[in-house]
Amino acid sequence: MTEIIQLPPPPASYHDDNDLWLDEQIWGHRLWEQDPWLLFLEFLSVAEASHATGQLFAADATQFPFSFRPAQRPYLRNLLFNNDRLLELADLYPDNETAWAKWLEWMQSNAKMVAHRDFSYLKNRFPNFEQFVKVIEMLRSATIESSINKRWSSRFVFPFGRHAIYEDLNTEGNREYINFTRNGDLLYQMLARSSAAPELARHFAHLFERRDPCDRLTELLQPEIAEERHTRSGSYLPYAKHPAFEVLAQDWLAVLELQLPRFDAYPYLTILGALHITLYQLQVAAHVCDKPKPHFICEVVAPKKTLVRELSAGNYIANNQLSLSAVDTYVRNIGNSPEWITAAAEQSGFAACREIMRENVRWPDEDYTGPVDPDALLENLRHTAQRRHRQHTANIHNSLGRGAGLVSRRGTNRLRYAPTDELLKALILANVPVRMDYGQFLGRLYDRYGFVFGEQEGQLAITTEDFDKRAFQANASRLENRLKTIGMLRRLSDACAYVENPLRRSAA
Amino acid sequence: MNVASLVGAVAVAYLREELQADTGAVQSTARYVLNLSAEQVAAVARAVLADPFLNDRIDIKLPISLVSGQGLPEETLTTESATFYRNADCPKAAYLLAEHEHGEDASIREIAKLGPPELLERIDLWVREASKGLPIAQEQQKWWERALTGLRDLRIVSIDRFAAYILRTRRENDEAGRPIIDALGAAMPALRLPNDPACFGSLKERQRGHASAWKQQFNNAHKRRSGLLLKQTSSQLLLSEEDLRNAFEKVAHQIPNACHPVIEAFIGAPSGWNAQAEAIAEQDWEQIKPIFDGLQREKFNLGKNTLEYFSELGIL
Repeated sequence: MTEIIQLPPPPASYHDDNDLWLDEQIWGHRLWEQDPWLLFLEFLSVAEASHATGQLFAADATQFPFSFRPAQRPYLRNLLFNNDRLLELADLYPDNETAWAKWLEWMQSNAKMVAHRDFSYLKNRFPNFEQFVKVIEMLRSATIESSINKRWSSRFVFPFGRHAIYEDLNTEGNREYINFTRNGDLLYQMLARSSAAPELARHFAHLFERRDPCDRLTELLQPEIAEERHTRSGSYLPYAKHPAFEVLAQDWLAVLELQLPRFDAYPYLTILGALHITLYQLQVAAHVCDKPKPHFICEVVAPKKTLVRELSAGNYIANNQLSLSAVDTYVRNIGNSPEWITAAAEQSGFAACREIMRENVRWPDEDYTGPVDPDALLENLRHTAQRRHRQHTANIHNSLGRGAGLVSRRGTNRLRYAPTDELLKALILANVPVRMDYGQFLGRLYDRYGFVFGEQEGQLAITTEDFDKRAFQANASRLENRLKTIGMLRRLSDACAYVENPLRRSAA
Repeated sequence: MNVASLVGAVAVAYLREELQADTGAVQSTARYVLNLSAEQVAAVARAVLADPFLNDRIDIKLPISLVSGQGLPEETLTTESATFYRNADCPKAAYLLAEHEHGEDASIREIAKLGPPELLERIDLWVREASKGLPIAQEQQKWWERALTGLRDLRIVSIDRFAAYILRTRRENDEAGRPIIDALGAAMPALRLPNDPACFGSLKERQRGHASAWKQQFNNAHKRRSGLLLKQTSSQLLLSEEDLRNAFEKVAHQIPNACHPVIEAFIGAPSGWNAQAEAIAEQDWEQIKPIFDGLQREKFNLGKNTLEYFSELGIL
């Protein structure tokens, strides 16, 4: 088991616009709700930037501040997503020269984020305007759709290669942290701090260097000028080593080693990335609260309400409250520290307590108007921290858990754990070498992720008065049928069921 | 009587009926596999041993790895798996086995199981065993049975909690002297729901004979109240300490002072099921519910406020 090595907080001169440094010290700067694909794209933008400087998953990612210079690809983005009149002009002007001229004129006045709105280099790269339009249409069909990235500068084409990877920007070309929330930075740093970093670097370098036909098309759409890159830094991951980083890295490595054709691995990496960020948040919270590693009672959706569904909904509620408990515990630990107790015992200890608090959480500022009492100050911090936590960090469990396919309302109006087929497939690809006994597979899911499907794991995780053996047996049996339906389980005549990784089998 | 012994008593009643029915001339060995927790399996075995009729007819063979340390006689324990007894000769009319080893399921699939689904099919046995020694009218006993059928059909509780609820209902009837309808409401903390003797009072007499009506009542209580004890709204939104404190300030005068310390402790406690949540569940719901009613937003009446605005300006 990997030990947990905690890092000191960054110097207070960083993040000076941050009025409270508490969630950040527990989980990092910063965990916010995010779409899983945006998380993966953000990770890729960091990895590509590191690759460009020959530092992919290098040891410097463990130092603070970790900085990188991501690509922006403004020409490609304008062509794909800020090019509304392209089809209209192609219809209006069948003549090749006129169509080019009219379109270039339109781009001259409408393109954004580029220093020179000159797209005439494209004329020499395509035999005619019609072919150019077809290429744009084809690449647009590979846009990663998400409900939250509506503005054109926050839309992304599938990351075919390094020429199609770029960071999120607003329409003025400035970096904002709404869609790319820094979770991707943290994901990158987690992988860089795992023991599998060198092997991951080899795989990703191969993905970035591979001359895929679609990547060559995206390259063709961009001018041959040195692109502008800006330095990004400031994200902070508070652990040098953590077991969650290792499991994440092992899962990604297992999927990458399958050498799936083209980019078929990316959807699985996306699901597993979102899942592991969710697990990281809860495992860290449990560690802060000195509670055991969290478990997840997973319902394999049944036609009728089952006890497992009920337990799963209760389990979801308990896990959902875990991060808030961690915030409470963190505040309580400040109050229980020897220096606080000593300071608070003195007659005029408030000023000293306030100073201790500032050193710990950079709060309160000079304008603090609350009661001049150490206990009241702690209470005030607890309320402020809870309020702040509930705005974003508390939503990770719901947001990324749903994105990963773990959390769902399917068949009911309450949230609980009901893994999707995609998540189950990703788990099999990451955990089953070629074939694995079904019982062993369920045990492995419990050991690595805390997932409870069957009675054996249920017995370990659930209190006796809530546990019902038969309900969990039926749940495991439903999972067996689900896996059989998706072609990843075989029951042999000697009553043994085996989970199979069909991709590994074909690779072997 | 505790949960395990009630489960044992019900299982024995079940087995009695099964074996009494088998009076044919040619008898083959009956086999039952218990699918319960170790403590409950041991309780069933003890109840069988204590019942002369069953003791003569049942040979108990329980895996030592499951029930060691439960104080059962040595002859009832075995190192063999349930699969071994699938075809073994039996000196008595029936074997009583227990499923323990993982992966045995396929081998003993054809043997009659005796676990939560089978026991919960026979609600009449639960009520019969639980009401022994209680002076309950037959009609009340019928209502109790229908209520438990409704609860079972809802599939929200394990057999342990189900049994605990029955025992608590018995206690409320026996010790507090409540009629069954009130006792069923007062026993709700066993289901992690608030104590509310008046909960089922709204059920009319003719509805009390229908399990579906009870199911609806339990479902409503579960949906609306179980989350509140965990500091969650019915839509799973977390109730903050601040929300609860503000609500309490608004309605404190409506709540008896004796309840205030428990409410204060509940507000200050972390969310989730804990001692404070348990303590508030034990309070009479009618007395403490204003705090949760106080969480509802006050409705904004635009028409009324418009009239007030203009009358203040002296226009109306």
